[in-house]
Amino acid sequence: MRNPLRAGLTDGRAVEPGIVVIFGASGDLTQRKLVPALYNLGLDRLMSGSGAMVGVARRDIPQEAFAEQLREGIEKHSRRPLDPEVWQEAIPRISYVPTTFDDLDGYRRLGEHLDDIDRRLGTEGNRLYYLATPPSAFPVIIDRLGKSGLNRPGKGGRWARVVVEKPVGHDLESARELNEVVNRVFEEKDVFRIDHYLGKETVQNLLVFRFANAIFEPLWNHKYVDHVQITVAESIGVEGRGGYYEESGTTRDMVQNHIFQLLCLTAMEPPFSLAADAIRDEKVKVLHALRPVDTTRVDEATVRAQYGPGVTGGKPVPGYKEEPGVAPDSTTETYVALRLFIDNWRWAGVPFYLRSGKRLPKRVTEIALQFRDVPHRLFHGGSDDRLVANTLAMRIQPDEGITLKFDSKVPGPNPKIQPVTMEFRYGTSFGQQPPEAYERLLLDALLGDATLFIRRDEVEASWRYIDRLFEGWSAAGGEPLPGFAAGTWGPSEADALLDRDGRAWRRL
Amino acid sequence: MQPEEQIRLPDVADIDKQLTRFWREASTDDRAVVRACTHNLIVVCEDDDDLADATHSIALLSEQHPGRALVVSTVDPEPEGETSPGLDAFVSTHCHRAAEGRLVCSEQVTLKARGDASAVLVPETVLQLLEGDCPVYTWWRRSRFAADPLWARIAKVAGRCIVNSSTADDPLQVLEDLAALATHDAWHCAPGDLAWVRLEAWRQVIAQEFDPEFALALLDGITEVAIEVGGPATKRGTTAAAAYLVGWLASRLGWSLDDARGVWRRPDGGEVVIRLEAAAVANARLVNAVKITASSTSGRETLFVAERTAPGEDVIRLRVEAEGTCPLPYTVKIERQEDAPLLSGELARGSRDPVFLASLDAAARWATAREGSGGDEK
Repeated sequence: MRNPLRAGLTDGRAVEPGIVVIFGASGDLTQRKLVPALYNLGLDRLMSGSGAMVGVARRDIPQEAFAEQLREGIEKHSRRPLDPEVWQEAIPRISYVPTTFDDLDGYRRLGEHLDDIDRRLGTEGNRLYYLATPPSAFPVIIDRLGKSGLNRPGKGGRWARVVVEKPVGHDLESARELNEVVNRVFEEKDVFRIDHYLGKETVQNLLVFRFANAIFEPLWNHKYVDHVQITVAESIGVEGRGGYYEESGTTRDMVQNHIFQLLCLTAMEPPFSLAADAIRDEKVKVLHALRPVDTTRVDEATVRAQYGPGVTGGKPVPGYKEEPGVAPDSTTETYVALRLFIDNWRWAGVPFYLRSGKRLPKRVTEIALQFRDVPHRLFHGGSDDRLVANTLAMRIQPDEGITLKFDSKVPGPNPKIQPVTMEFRYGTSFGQQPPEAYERLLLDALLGDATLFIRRDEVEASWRYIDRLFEGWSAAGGEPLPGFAAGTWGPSEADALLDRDGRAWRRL
Repeated sequence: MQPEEQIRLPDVADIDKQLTRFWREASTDDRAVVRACTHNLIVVCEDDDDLADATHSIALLSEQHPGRALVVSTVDPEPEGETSPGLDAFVSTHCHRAAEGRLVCSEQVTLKARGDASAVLVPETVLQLLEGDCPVYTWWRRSRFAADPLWARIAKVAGRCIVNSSTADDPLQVLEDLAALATHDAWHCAPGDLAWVRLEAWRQVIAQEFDPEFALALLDGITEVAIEVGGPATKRGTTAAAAYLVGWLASRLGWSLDDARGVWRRPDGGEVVIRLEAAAVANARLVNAVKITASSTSGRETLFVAERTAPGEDVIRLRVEAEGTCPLPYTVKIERQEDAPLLSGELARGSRDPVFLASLDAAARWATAREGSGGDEK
């Protein structure tokens, strides 16, 4: 610890002086997430006193208008109200540089502006570039940062880092191309590929739950676990983003990143330390151990579907193909269910069932381990019928918590058995409001802690698996996808996927 | 034992039954009540007024840390005649709506001791009422503890013993007593002080001032620390907050105490002047400003100021005054400093905080030394 006065503080980590440069500063992500996150970090005294923020975007707007735009973003989206006094003193630290993302002269002006801030505000030459732009702009911004020398810290600085929003590519080839561009300009240690799921408190708690409690880890393997289910369900539709969704679909939008991250944290081996690369090494091993899909039999292990018209939240909603921007003959999946296997010692033979979709009955993200049945049924006389396998479920959102289902005797003279649930709920045991995922992730990026960010090899390993899925689906022909009514738990084919294995999806 | 001296003990089984009945009746078909217990908190109050304040704090605390509170209070002696020793027990609950809509409830058992029951019966009853397998904390609200016979017996069952030196008549005595306990081999209850927890925000902003490279280099050159604290001067001239801040800086920066003169010296032998100034606020718990002067090797002075925007306000402005540089001032908010959030912060901390213990030791030694040498505050 550089500063001895930091020892023993609740958060003893110190953000060094520096400038956060947001590309795409007039966009939705900046307004809704990034600026409120920076503001709350400042309120929590977690930002450096010598810090500044620079917005970069195409629109030519005056400095005052830009600051006003940010103020509105905080007022609308911050978890805590805007404090006028704190905001007033933040204004001189905020500035705006208009430029198109490919204009080298714009980057020269940006560089001069950053040097000037270093001199005026003592930001010490440190830079964090945040790419909050459409993915298509990532390569050109990174290339121009490199060409203009902004990929290096300013005078006296120690670091220049870049945060890349998802998606990183739309297949293995494009991900590799982007990674090539990024790593030509920035060293991998300075690249922070964000997946906001990893900023969620309960996702981080997965590591604590597994590796800080001695009782679970011995059971966490093929000897005791029958199968694992991971569900990421959304109740909303494409929300006017039909055009974008047509290009991505659920597999690229959710499975390749969020679900695979949950899978990795669930299945990984204990890391030898909590260092970023120790954890990421273990995660990437899981991805490497995924059994490649047999592209000639992809239908046996996967289900794709689209939501049709239905009712959610008590209101009738259109089907996917009726959404604006969606082709009437679209074959983009809004629902996907997968059965996959991790071919390693720990998980040999244990199926992992993953499902995700839009317009499902509720918004819920959950990881559930279902344990094997007892080896010998002891309780006779009908009571065995009510025996259910133990299930350990980790709810990521909403109502974050952990439940354990087990069988118990019903009071009375007869040996009746009934499943009961033991619950831990974050909101019950810990009253404090957790910070937003973006707060945690921005703070970590400023601190240079990459633990909760995705490394290049993780991205590429996950795309390698996903590419084979698409290869298989493509080979199977372009038949229309099965449909299901919006507001239901997906198509019957998804139920059949588990039914064939003698299992069923959890009712959530 | 004479009949009039017969001690009335509360039936612990009855208390448990009452609580069980409460939980059963509180849950209905359409309203589930979750009873949550993450700790036992033994609260020892000064009197009935203090009991009311403590109950209010426990209710607030339970929203962050649901648990079982065992609150001990002493009934005032009757004006005439002797008070027969005894204990009366009352059961109550604190409920709040959790984020997911559930009603989450904690329980409070209040024990009112009459006559001499306090030291004799309270520890035994408390022991029986502790929720098994949950950590035990003691929140001692009486102004003195070391001489109180109940203190040692209650503290024996607790993992943490939390006091609040800022409300004591003689806060420095509390610091000295705590420091003595902390070094006592046979004492297992880790000490804590809400006056110290209250300073977390100040420690954080002062640390933040010294994060930049140029400031970090000046930590070894601190020549003067001026602390403005509110409230009337205490018997011994300084407050717990000021003593803790000085003790913290001294212990973190390796200053040594010249006991005879009550002054601090840096590792290079240079003297650090401590100036205590009275702020225009009545609340003795509140630090109003901390101004640190540091000198570089070339003799250039830099002043680091952290001060409230107005006395009593919960916004702190940080600024640096140095020749040739003009960093922008920086404003941060600090949370309201009520007992419940402070206690919550203390419960969330690990059992033994080495930074606190070192600061406590330095603060107590300094308080003793400066008393012998006379203070230098304005």
